[in-house]
Amino acid sequence: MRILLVEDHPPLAEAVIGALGRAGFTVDHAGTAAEALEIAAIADIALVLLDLGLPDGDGLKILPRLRREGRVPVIVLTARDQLEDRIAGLDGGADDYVVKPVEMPELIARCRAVLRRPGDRSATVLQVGPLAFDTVTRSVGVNGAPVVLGRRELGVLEQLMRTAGRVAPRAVLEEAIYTLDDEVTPNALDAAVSRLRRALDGAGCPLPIVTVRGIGWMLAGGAVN
Amino acid sequence: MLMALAVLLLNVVAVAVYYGSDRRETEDEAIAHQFERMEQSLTGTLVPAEAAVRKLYSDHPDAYAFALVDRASTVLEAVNANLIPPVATTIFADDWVTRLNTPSGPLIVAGHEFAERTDGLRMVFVMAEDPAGLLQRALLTEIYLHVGLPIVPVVLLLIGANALLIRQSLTPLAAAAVWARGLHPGRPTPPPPPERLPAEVADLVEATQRSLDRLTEALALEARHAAEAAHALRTPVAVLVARLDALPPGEMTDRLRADLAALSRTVAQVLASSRADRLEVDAGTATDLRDVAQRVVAALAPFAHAKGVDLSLDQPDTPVFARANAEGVDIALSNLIENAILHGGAGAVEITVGDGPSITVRDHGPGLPQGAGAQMFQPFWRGPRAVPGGAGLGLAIVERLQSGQGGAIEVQPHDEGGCVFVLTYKKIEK
Repeated sequence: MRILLVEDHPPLAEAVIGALGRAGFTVDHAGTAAEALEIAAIADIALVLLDLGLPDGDGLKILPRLRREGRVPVIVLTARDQLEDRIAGLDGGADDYVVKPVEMPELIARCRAVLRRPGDRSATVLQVGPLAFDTVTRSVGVNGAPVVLGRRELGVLEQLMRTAGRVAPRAVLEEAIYTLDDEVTPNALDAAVSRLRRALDGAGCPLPIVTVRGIGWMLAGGAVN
Repeated sequence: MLMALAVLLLNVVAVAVYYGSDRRETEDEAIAHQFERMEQSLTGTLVPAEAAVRKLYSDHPDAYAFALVDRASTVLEAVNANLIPPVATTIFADDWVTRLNTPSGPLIVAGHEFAERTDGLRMVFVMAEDPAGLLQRALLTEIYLHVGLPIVPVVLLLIGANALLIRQSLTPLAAAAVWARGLHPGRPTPPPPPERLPAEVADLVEATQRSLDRLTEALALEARHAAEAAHALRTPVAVLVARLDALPPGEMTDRLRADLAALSRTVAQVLASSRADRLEVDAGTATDLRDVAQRVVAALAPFAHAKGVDLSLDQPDTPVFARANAEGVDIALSNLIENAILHGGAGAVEITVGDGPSITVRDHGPGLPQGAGAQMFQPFWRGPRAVPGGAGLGLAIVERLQSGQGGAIEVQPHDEGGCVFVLTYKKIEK
């Protein structure tokens, strides 16, 4: 998969290119906004990592053109960490906002998470560690061995995998199962999560589903892969 | 005020000296007073004089005497007649005073015809000594008449007017003081008091404003320098963090990663610190603490999980609005939760949003270090069990954020172990 890294600081660019390369991505590098637009126009880019402070202008200005009407996801990678900056970045069409310095495993996990999100760029198979989820056949496997799950558990797992390494709020997960069945009791979600946990444990999946009481659940381990 | 009192005193002294130095004048006054009293006490055509008037004479038989004499020089009434020289009752004159030197001492003899009456009644008054202090009383009466009556009201009026004037002219100064109390370096200067200020006070206000503006500028510059320095450090730290990824896994790599994490946290803290001083919270800023708590807890959950800590959040179903800046709450709460994760040991960290409005962070760690109190909130304070590499800025930043927003931070040990940090905020005035 091809990633365009727009970063004007040579040592940082070199280090990030190395890390992304080791994670299996092909990386194109642009040091300026103009160069970034040139590369984006000719190459088939799956994801853009965009620094905001570029020598020839603010990264936010070229963000809309890099996105190509939302076909290409963009992660803003910047040293600006104020709340307003983050909001401006996300409002400007960024799919995620990562503040430097960032650990490479986390950056890679974020890239994967963005690439997993639904839309015309979504892969049919979501992969988190040994766990695979085919969104077309709606089948799940751990290290290639199939795991049988109910519809609600599938809905919950898909959402957890799309946001692996981060907390999926209760409301988001509820939505994922309510669309399948309108007759849902208040603790149907809790029941579905515990069934899912048992099933994954039974299949030998090492990734725990962490409860963050009062917020939601998180499929841990996404950042490690 | 003092001036007025001095004038009053000067007058009293002047009158006292004038009359005191002229004994004769005082004597005349005292005698005239006796005649007057007698005349007032006589009713009808004839005497005897009233008991009250007579008392002076009966009390002092060797000092005072009087006689009432009619037109035919017949003595109608006399008290202590032995003091009266016989010739005195025969003198026809409206008003006379004479001073005699007799073998037993000086004697003042006076006569007066009561002009108000038509029967020609006269009185003769004699004073050998003055044990009743008639002269003294006459002097006091004079002082009262010449000083008390005309000057005291004027003085009182003057004092009153002065007090009023001074108070009135100090009102703008008081307003300026109220204004000055509202000034804080680093915050925008509030508009000067609306009262019309006299030129001198206006000058003071303006000078204060100017020096405060300069101070604010200097503070802002300092904060900007710190922020710029921290900001400039971010990219090299980012490079280091990224390069670390290329190192083969191992103990040394893990140690370097931990060191770098601490360095990067410190850089972030310095930036947060410079921001903490510049937070602006106006009365209208309403933040739902639940939103912030939810965001912060969700953001820190992966970090907590990596450290073996379970986070949980308890909050009411209805919004908990506080007068606070969302980013300020975010930074403060993030700091407290990170501290709890790093220092609270493995175990649960419970975050609770309450109607205070407040947010509490409770850990199940070893509790507060011995002797840690208010000093925990001083910059660069580090607990004895602190993880190496921290800068000791976190709690100081929280403290500054809280005071900047009119809130507070408190810490107390929990009965069942661990400790509880409480962030409180101002309520939204309805």
